[in-house]
Amino acid sequence: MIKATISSEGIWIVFLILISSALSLIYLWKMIEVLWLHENTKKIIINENPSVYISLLIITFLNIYFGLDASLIVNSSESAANTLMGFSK
Amino acid sequence: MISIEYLILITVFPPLLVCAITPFLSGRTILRDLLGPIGGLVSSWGSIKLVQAVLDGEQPKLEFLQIAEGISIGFTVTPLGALFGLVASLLWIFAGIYSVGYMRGNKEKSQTRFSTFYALAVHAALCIAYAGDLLTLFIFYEILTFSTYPLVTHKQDELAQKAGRLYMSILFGSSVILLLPAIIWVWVITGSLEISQNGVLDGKIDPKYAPFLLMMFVFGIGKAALMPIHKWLPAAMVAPTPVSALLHAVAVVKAGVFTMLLVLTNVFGIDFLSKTGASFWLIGLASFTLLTTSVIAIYKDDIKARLAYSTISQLSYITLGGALASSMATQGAALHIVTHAAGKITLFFVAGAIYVGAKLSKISELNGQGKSMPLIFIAFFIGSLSIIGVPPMGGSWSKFFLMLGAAESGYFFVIAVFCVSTILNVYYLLEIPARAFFFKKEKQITPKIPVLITIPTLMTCFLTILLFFFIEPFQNLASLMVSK
Repeated sequence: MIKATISSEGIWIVFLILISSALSLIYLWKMIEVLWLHENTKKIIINENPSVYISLLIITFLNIYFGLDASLIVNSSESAANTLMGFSK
Repeated sequence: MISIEYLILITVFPPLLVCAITPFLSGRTILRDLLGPIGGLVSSWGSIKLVQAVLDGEQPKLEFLQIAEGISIGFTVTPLGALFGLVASLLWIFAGIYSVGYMRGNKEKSQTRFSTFYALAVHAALCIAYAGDLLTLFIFYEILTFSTYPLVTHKQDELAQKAGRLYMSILFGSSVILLLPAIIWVWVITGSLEISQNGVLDGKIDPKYAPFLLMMFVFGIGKAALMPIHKWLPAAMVAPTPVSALLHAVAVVKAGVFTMLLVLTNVFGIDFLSKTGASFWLIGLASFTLLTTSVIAIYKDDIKARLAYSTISQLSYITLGGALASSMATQGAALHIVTHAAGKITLFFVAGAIYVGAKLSKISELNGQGKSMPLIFIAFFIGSLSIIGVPPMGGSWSKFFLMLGAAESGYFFVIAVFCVSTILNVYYLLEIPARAFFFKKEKQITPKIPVLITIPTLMTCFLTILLFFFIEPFQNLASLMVSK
């Protein structure tokens, strides 16, 4: 996405994308701060279901996997974009 | 006989292993506390072997994953990387021992969590040192930021929260908004992110755009703490002293100036910078930062705050050395990573020793305390002399090369900047031992400094002297770094 905007001389769009990434850190970080820095005042008993953790671990792994090998999503997005462009013609 | 490629793994994996095992050892504190220094010894052995390999003309390389054309995840040991890797792994041994003494002596909470993230931060620093391309470097640069956040906010109070916010917003914000697009820009114009010996931009970028790309790198590398993106470093002083040592000597700021030097020499290249004058503005900014923060340091009464501003000033020496784009100055900058690390870790160890042993943290409270803590203040005195650049301390070599480099590049005003800064260094650093030894005692204190704090402090102090006599391997690496 970033490369595409650079090659279409939309360098300022790159900065917008990245500034939005940095801004997302602010609202996500508020959650991390609460979890990390604030005392647990309420005693809550949570019945943990292992299947939730398994799903979470798989999704977490996929986040990292697609970060390192994006060929699957890039190829499918490309073919979807081509199809849409074809329809629009 | 171990293959040199595997030496990279032997060097970078011990801290990761320590990080993985430590959480399970909260009930076995002796074993937990031994893991750090043992990991440091193994990593140091590996890093010494890597230095030998690089000095023998080899370039150890290990590729894990090819992501796209010109982009991969892997390690390549460059001369500068070998130098930084050796510094980080060696100092981890001393910092590991010191951390145990400090955390136990100060009865700090959550020591297991502390050791876990400490090891992870060292792992990230070593991976930065041996990063084979800019993407690998960026990934571990961010891991280093995130792994040090729990250390900076270790006290988990309001002050720690504020410091943590500043720390994350500057370091993460600058890297995402500026460093990442700068790396993408390099990829778009060169088609590769690999780290090359003499730079990759010559003939690939219009020289009129080069200063802007350099600006994006310089302000994107927040860990190098150049003004005006330096505020995170004094704010991070709320952390326990071993964290300050980690930030200032072992990992964080050193990773910052290492990245800065790598960008200047291996992305832009000395010849390209010298030919185009793209780094001229950086010479001015680094000189300004160097002098301004030295003056600010004089007015700080808190020992750690004064040392923090001293670090910002000393980091600017390294950036300035790279920006001068001369062979001598770049060598001086690389050597300053080593000598400043040894000197500054000693000074922070002393600051922590005074706090744990006597509960003193202000310079004005140290009057006459030299006799009750003589070894500690002598260590501070020797560490200070090294930072100032007085022979026979290691710091004199880096400053000597930086001076030669300033003369070689023809920027004579930089020599004046170095001279004025040295005078300021003398003032703000030597005031501390001077007050301790020559001022009248105001408070009667019987300090109790744990032996696990005293020993590493004296060892790093000794290291600053050793570096004067055994600078040759580091100088050879620095010289290889600028060879064509």
